[in-house]
Amino acid sequence: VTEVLAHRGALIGTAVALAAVLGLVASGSEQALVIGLITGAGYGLVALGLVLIYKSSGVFNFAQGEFGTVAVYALWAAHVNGVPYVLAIVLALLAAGAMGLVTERVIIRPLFDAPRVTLLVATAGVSLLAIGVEIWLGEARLRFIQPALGRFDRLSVLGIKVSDQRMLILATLIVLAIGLGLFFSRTNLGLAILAVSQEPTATELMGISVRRLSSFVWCLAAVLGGLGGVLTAGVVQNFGPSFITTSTLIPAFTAAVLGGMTSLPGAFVGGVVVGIVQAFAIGEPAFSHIPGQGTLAVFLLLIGVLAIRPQGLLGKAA
Amino acid sequence: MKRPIRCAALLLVLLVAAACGQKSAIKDSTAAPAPAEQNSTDPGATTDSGTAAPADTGADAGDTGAATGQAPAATPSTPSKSGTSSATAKPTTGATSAPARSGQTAQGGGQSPSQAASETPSQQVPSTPDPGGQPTTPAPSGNVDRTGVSDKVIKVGIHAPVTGAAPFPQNAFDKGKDVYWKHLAEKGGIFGRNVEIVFRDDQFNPSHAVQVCREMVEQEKVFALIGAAGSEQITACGRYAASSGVPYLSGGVNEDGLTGLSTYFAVSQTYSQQAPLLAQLAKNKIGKTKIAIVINNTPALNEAQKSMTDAAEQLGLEIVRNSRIGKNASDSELLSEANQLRTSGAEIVNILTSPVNFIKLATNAQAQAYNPIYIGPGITNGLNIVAEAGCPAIGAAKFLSPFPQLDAIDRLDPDYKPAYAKYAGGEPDDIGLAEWGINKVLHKMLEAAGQDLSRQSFLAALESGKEFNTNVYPTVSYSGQIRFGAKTMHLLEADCSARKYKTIATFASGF
Repeated sequence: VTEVLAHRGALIGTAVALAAVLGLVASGSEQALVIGLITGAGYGLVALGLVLIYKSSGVFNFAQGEFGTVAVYALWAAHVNGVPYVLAIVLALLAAGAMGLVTERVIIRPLFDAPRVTLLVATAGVSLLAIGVEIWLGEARLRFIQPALGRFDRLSVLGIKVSDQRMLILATLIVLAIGLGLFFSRTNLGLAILAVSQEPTATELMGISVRRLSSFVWCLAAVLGGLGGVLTAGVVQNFGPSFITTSTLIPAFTAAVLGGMTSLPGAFVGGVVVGIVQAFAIGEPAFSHIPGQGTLAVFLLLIGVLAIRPQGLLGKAA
Repeated sequence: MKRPIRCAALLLVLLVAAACGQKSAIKDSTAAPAPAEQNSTDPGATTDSGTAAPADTGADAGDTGAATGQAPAATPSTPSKSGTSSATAKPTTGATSAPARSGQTAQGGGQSPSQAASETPSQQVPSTPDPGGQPTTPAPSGNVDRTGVSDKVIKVGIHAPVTGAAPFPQNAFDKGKDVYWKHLAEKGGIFGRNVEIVFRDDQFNPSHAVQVCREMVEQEKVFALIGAAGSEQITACGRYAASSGVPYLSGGVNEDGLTGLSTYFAVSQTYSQQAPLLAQLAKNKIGKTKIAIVINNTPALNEAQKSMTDAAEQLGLEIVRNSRIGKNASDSELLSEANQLRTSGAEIVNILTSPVNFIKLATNAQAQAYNPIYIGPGITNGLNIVAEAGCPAIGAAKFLSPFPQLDAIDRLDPDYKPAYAKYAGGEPDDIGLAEWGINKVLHKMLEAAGQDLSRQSFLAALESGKEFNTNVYPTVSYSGQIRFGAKTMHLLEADCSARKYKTIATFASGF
């Protein structure tokens, strides 16, 4: 019983998911499942980086979207200058990682002892600065970007064609969610990062460099954000300034909060749930007269989950 | 953990509230009594044009530099006759004493006599209150307002989105905005004056648009305002301008919210006026009958949706889907819409959305192995920046446009490219061409207002029924009742091999 209660969140999440699936199938909205899954995977990928930062330092990182956008710009710039696509992706991830390191070193570290809300505002400032620089250097124009995988019609599920690029996002998300979950539970480095977030002074006394770990986490989160950016941009095949921030950050935050903020698998679950709820609200004719019905439905879901289970579906109570 | 979560949730609430706040100006704009019925250009009055009938469209007039069917360019001496006297004898009383008629077509308008013969009557609408609820009263009779006019300079404000969901590249916009006026200065300007452009980014946000328009009027003291793109922003600023007695020009957008404004003039066809052309394009030129209509879900476009629906039905097209999508639609919404379009079997998608939504919808449709022909009204979806970012997903999309593309401009106005190269440097682009065209329209209007320029003389000149022909934008003429005074549009088609639009019909009044 104790074991079952310990995984109450997972059980609730599973039950909610099953109920949603059954409800959607019963109402003839099964396509919303597919659309929600493949669009929610993009949200989940960005949410992973948010959870990683929050899990390790307790900071809501509003610059996460811009890590992705900067990576997309780097990918585009490299590719149009003749760099092969795969190498351009590597360069893009390096650019995102560098931005994460610089953000940590210049913004986060000096504010290390400041209240978390101060850090939250600081990351929002980083995001605004990045958007400004993108507009300044690259103008507010849309740019075309090729997908990593160009085939669209290999797989069709319930009448929805799932492009290879979307499959890649989904696969990447699953691998990362599981891999990072294992990293934090099974490796010394992962445990050290968790220790830093819970008791930094004691961890420092144990000989673990809190600041070095902070740099590592921000760099890793930025690379995750960059990966989310380059893969998502390949789906829509165009991007502009604040691309990820405006298109994905708020659903990703919602996904992270739904998932529990400290649960990496929760980010995956949250992303999918957000995607499905959004797709259902948009596709359901009964809601078609409500402007922004998808966003509204996600927002109501978020409020509902926070009211009933503030720690999220897979999170642990503080 | 709970406290930061609450903070983040609060921040999310504020972000959503801020987004919802953008709707306030929309509500304001739709608070005006809507016309009971929207009438558009009578399809029966149109004739085949475009590439098939260049004589009607002016497409083959390059040798002479003036398109067949276009009125001769106005000479400076003509307008000067009415300048001062008009300013004092005929202040801006036209629209308020006799409200504008929605969709009524202007006389002439660059058409052949047979094309221009039909003038479609439509119902009158009452004058509309301004966004603050005040009636749109003109300047008092006899009170001459020369704000923004000096012996040497006429200050004009332009607002356009260089950020937001329908961004213009600001560098391109900045490079092109003064080219026409520098070119004109070499020829002596307008009665010794030249135009100074003040530009503001409206962020594709109606609330912000009103803010920047107010700033240009109250702080920069501009003589007139021009809205470059964005129906909600144009509506919001047009209403503000009317409440302030400031002349306001824009490309044609919606009619709701703009009908009856005393200082507003559309320099190209409105969406409702373009609706019959689009239906004819689908049926007669493309030869498909299953059509879907997709429009941004903003109240300002309700009338456009009705016009497009009516026009398609009148031509016997089968409307297989008629939907609205969010102004900032999510990936999920666009994928869902693309799938529903595919399952509807639509062969043509008549789309009126921001470029960002259009490109993302087309990309999602392509990912569903669904590649319909996209058509739609002007202005922004026919810009090359859309083809650059949207190809190959947008295919051979066809959009009406108030200005031709670069491939046709040498035939219609050979001055543009040399002037751009001389004053802006670099390769001419279509954004510069759009600015060139609208500035040329403004030039003709300022000339018509005469040497003793005031807001009253300017408005009186516009209301006089005189034709303003630029050979770039459609010829327009207005009266106190007609503010949507264009009868033709250009037709552009995406050429994805070059990632550009090309012109396939000029000054078309029907297909």
